[in-house]
Amino acid sequence: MNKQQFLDALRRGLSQLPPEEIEKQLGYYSELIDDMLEDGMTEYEATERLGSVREIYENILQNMPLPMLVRTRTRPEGGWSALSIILVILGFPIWFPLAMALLAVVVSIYVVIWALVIVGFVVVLAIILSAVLFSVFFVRLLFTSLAAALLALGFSLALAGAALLAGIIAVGCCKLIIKATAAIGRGIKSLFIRREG
Amino acid sequence: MLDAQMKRGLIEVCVLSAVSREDSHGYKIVKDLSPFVAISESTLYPILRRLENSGSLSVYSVEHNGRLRKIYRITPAGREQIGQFLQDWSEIAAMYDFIKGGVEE
Repeated sequence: MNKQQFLDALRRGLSQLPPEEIEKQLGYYSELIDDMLEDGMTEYEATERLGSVREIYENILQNMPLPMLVRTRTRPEGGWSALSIILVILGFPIWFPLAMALLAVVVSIYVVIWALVIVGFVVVLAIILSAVLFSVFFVRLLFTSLAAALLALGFSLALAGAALLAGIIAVGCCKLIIKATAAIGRGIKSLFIRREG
Repeated sequence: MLDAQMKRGLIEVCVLSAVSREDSHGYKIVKDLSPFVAISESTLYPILRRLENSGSLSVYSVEHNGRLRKIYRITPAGREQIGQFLQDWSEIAAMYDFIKGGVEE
């Protein structure tokens, strides 16, 4: 494509961003293309070298801080009218507590999930302690009954194994939750990225 | 494969270094870096913005062939960032030598 087509396509892809941000991004790419033209490339070659416009603007949008994406998403075309501002302020006692309640619920769910993980680790700790306890029994029973001592040793080893297994599962769950949190974060961000129909 | 975070930090210092030799602009920085670092024009721009926001780079406009071009210049803070990186690196290099020495025995 030629320079103007490239810039127009980029502008369309970034249309949901604040105007200052759009101009900065377009200024950068416009300058790049001009430099490449000076270097002897054609407009076609220059835009080829920059790559797919879609990839470029999707990357930009993905790496934009969420506030910048949200600000323009919720700004109606032409700016806020006096009436809508008044309605938002008057409605504050209604929507604000609801929003806070929703936030509280989401945070509580998240905290509960982590609490479960902590409980899991506590369980692992408890199993480890009982394993230690049984090995103490093993040592003490050595002087009285060999059979009982061996039984205690068996329990100790079995519990140690169980602790190891439970520990691995707990750590695995931790990693999973962290990954899931990151994925949900990305998902929320994509919600705010408007796609061209 | 280099850790992604580490790579990003390293590329940032490379960009600073390119600008520290002489004030430069986006296209030239990519050209100067390309023999050493795989960086695309689109990857460079966020890095330049970040360095500008953190005060390691300053920007000014210059007229060139009838258009306005944005030139980046390194700041004292930027030079300090390079110095810090080189210091950190010599520590890493010492550890590397030690580890390498262990393998060769």
